[in-house]
Amino acid sequence: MKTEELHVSSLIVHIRPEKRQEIEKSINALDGAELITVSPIGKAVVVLEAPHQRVIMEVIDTINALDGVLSTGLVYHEFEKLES
Amino acid sequence: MKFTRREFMKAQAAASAAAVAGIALPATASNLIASQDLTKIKWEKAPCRFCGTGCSVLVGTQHGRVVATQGDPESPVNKGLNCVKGYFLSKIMYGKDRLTTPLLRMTDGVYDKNGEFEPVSWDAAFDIMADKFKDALKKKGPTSVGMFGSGQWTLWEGYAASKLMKAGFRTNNLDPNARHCMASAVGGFMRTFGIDEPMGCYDDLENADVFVLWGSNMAEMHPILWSRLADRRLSNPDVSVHVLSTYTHRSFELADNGMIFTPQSDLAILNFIANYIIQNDAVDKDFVEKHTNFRKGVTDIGYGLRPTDPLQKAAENPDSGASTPISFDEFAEYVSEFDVDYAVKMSGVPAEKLIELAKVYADPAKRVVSYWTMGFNQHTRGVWANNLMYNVHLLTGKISKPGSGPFSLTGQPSACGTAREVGTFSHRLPADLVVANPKHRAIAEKLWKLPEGTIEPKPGYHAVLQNRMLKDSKLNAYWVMCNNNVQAGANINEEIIPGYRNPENFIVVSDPYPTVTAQMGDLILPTAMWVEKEGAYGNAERRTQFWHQQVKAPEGAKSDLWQLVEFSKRFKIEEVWTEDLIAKMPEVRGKTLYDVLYKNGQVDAFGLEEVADERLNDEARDFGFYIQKGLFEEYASFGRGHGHDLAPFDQYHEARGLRWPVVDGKETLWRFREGYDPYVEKGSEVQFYGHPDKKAVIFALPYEPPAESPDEEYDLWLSTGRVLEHWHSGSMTRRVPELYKAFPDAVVFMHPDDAKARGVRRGDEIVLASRRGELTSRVETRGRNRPPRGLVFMPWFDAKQLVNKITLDATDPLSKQTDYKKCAVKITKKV
Repeated sequence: MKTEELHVSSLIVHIRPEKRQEIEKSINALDGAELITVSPIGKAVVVLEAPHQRVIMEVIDTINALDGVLSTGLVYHEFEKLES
Repeated sequence: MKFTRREFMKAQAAASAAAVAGIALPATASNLIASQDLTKIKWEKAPCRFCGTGCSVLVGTQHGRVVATQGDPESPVNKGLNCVKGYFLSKIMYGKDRLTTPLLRMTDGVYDKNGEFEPVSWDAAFDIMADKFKDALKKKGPTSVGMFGSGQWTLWEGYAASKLMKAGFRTNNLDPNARHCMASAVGGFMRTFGIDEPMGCYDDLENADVFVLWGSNMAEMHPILWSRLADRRLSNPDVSVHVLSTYTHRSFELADNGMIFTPQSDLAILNFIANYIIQNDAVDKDFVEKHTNFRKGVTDIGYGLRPTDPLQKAAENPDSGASTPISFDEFAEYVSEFDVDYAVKMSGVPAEKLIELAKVYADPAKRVVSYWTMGFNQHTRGVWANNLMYNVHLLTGKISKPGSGPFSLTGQPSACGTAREVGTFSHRLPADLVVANPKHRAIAEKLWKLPEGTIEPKPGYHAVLQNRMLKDSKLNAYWVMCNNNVQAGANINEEIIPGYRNPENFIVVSDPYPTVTAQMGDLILPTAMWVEKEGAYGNAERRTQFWHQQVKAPEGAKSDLWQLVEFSKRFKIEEVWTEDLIAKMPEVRGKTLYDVLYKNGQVDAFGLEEVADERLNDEARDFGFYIQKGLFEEYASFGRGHGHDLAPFDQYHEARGLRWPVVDGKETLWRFREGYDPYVEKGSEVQFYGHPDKKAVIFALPYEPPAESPDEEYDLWLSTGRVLEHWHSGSMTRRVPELYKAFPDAVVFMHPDDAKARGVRRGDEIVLASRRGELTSRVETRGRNRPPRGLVFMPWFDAKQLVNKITLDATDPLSKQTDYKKCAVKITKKV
């Protein structure tokens, strides 16, 4: 029996509102990332899921580097051991 | 409706983020939140272990280990948010190389400076350490022993250390690593206002119309404050952000007015703004008249180098902070030569950008906050830079009110609390008292219940001087605690390592991990960290925050507090004090330093009954009394009633921190302003009560060049600093695999044209050299930091690439803080 993990995190990402469409597309294209909503002023809620915390870190780094992303704050993190 | 576990977790995550962001979720998403999951994790608050922002995190423990952290939604500082370092806090204690036993350099079972590290018991470790300290005291007296401490110490650790050194060993050779980050800010505050620390608070972030970042890269270094700033900017189109730096970095993404200036020319820009304000009749005359004085400072003050250094010999007024009174008109005349042409010439910033910046300060309708960190402080004219910044805010009256004020950010979690408020500097005592003042010494001696004359009047060796004195064999028994100074100090090869390896010296290093510094020492003491002990930190906005011990330290590791207090038991008063001093208080005869300093009826005033049975508190149970509370209450007696009031101990365990002065249970958000600050007398509007006349000082100070500038051979500026993922020397963050992997090795950021001119490309191995040493690194021409031509930037977190072998140990002559932002280097391709 192998133990795998499921990590789920959420972020608040401040973005330049005028870059919203490109950023939304780029984030949703990332493995395990989903942009849930963006407020009119440019505050986005993003949920990440990954088999390892390291992957989450990599996704955050990628989001941070997107053109028009101003800041990334982490809100929530939970992980479960999944037995398979 | 039935959800999979995965869907549930995602919904929970989204809901939390939306709540923190204060935005509504689309119905489809929020509908997913079905029921609250009950986790088996126990959550409790603690301030983050890293920077000076002072975020509160909820620490999740399970089976005696920290397994998770999350932003504390109840915290007014971070409002539920975390940065990546805070996110991985749970892992900093579990590096594979955590130390759990004292290690002593030995050969054939006995101490040998040239031996290898071998495990010894705590008893044996303290035996040899006490021998060495006693030996030094006997041979050369108190000036031959000393300690290098930390802005990461808890309040009571710093306080216990201060008592042990200044009263116990009667040496003022105690300095914190905060000397490297905050000393110029302290110098600036004391000189302009006569009292330390910012008048404003983080609430300014939601109230300002204009933000000006002077050198600060808040986006990476203070990400949570940056998110609050970004929030303000995005929700208010009229708000503007001005960013000044010597290279382009992430904070420029939000800048409405980004400016790249030549190193050191901040002095010229600040004077230009003061001049612009006067020329454009934007001085708040009533405010200036009522609340300020003008003085002219002496110039040509040297560079804090050894007295034998040619630069130091050439200075007319080395180390002088003297000044003489002048009038407003004389000040106006003085700054009149700093016109826009001069500022452009010095800084390289286009005139229209400088004028746009000056305009926002001059516009009486705009509330402006200025932020800075190491750019002003790590500066051979750092105190001046701080003074000049205050000039701008004082001339316009934009100070001490919501949304307006100068704000010096801090780099360490308790640089304000432990280093500054407790006064662990070589010249200081608690609550802004100083050793050189006989009245201040008398206050400390009385509160500490010690005979008159215990505290030495002469300031001790500051950080940089400690290294020089180790090298010169003047400082011989030395304890380094809670810092990594061999990596953090400047000019390592010439001025640090020689002192640590000097055969006449015995160096003790307390750390959770085998840092560069630990490995350079003779005895290593394994140390408990963060929530393995009860603690308190003070952040940049005067907020004091407490936490409880939440897990046990690994067997064998002991907190700094335990080490300091336990070590004091090894000294009989007769071994450390002179007969003359003992004669003034004969009842101390035969007692130990532990009895006199810590079992004095005050520190041991609170019994174990105040520590709940289910609570961990290793130190209280070891010593038999609630030592943290006793130390805190004794310490707090220094500041209560004197503008530094702290709340009662127990209140802090409940609150998410309180900003001092806390008077009648109420914290102070904006100091010096009537209606906010209880120390300001009714009807006076504003009182800068740090000075006896309750006025602040506007200083006339010029531009002076840096200690070293690029020349033909060493043709580039080197600036050093941090990156988002790593904190300071990386001793904690490099042990978090995720953070390590995100930024594993330091690189040298440089302009592509500069790279090309030297025949190197992105990723190439290079040799970075100064007059003091060289190292091998790699070139980075893309990414987050983009220097202009002529300047390179290298972070200092990487122990494999010690950039401080290159840097110069020139300091601000007034604050004694090193300038890590400017020296001359050359780069060649590694062959």
